[in-house]
Amino acid sequence: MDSLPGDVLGDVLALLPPRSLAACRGVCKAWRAAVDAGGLLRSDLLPLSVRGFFVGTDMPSCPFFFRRPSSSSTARKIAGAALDYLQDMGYDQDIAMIRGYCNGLLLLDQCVVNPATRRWARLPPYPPSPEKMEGFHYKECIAFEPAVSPHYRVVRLPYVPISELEGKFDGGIEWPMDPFVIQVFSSGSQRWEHRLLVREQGEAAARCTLGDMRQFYSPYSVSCDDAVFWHEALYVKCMNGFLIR
Amino acid sequence: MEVDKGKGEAEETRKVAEADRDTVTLKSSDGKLFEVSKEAAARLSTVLAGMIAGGSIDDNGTDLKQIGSEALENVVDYCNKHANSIPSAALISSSISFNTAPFKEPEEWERKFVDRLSHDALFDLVEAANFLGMERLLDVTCHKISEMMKGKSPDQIREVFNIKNDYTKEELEEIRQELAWAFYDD
Repeated sequence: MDSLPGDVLGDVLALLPPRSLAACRGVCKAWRAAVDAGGLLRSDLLPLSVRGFFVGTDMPSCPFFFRRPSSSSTARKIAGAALDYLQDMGYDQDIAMIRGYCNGLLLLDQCVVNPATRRWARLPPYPPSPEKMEGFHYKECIAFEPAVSPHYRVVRLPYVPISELEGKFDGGIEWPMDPFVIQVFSSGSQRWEHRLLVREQGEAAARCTLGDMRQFYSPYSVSCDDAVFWHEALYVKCMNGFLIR
Repeated sequence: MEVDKGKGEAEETRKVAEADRDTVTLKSSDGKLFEVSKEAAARLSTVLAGMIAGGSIDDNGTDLKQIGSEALENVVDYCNKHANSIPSAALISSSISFNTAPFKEPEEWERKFVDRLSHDALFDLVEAANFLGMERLLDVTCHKISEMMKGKSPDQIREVFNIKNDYTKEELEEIRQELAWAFYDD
């Protein structure tokens, strides 16, 4: 088998399901190289199973972590310490509310945590709002795609809380604004940058103004329920039904 | 001048005679001779097809120094069996639907053909099929080998294929962590 030509090994591997491919990577270095070279193991298509989950509460306390009793060593490691190591590092865990999560990373207030490796990083101070957007509140999302890049990005999207829709802002402002300025932090550059988004739909799309938004009852949720990072694009559902990508 | 011309004619006659034969003779690395249907050889092996078209087939046995007699016997056996087998409807239809040639499941007789082989014979046959550019035989043998890998742990695969583990303990643990889901049965 040592002399099995590389292209034949590739042909054989191409017939295998992901679980067998994962085992083949562990056979020897040449086989791992063959699996990786063929791009055969698409980690974005791998079967993920739930081994545990965090639950955040409205109480000022650290999020709880739940796991299955039989779960893997990784999950046990996470549960063993919850997020208390943050406190050891000087992070006030009373404000450790989970703002967002993506592919194993947690976004807390001004901080990103990988519970599996117990590593965390503090985000640099937020940049000031760009011109004409002073006074907006921001919702944070995290985007991380380990199969594409080892770097994560934190995105801050401006929004107006329902309580401030009256009075403080000009009811005639179109929403989402076009162009729409968002703030993006990349762990690669370690900097916050402004990104300009333009509206994709044409004139035919229904325009909505801040004034119109008063009709929506529920406050623009600051939880992460309405932001999804999928296939390298961040989808955010706005209160008025707009989808920001 | 006359002599040269005569020799040329003789050569010509011999070539014509060879082209008329409906089998070709192949010689293994250890000197054994095998006869195989020319039509099947040309259809199943791109390398043999090229040799037949290019006239480099030797009547006294075309040398295939890379292939041992056991593997060559299996190759010839496969070609002859293939020549006799009626292709199933599935094979015909799938061969025209895609130009990327997706893998077609082995036929019943092909499955039996590779199932009876020892590991060593199977691996030698894969190499021979690869060398001779026999796409279908390569598919069938690769399919068999992949079946032998399915559901096995890295340790078991190493044992079956007689592969030396060149990882350190730390590297193995890292690989396990990377794809931890593959190593648990929940």
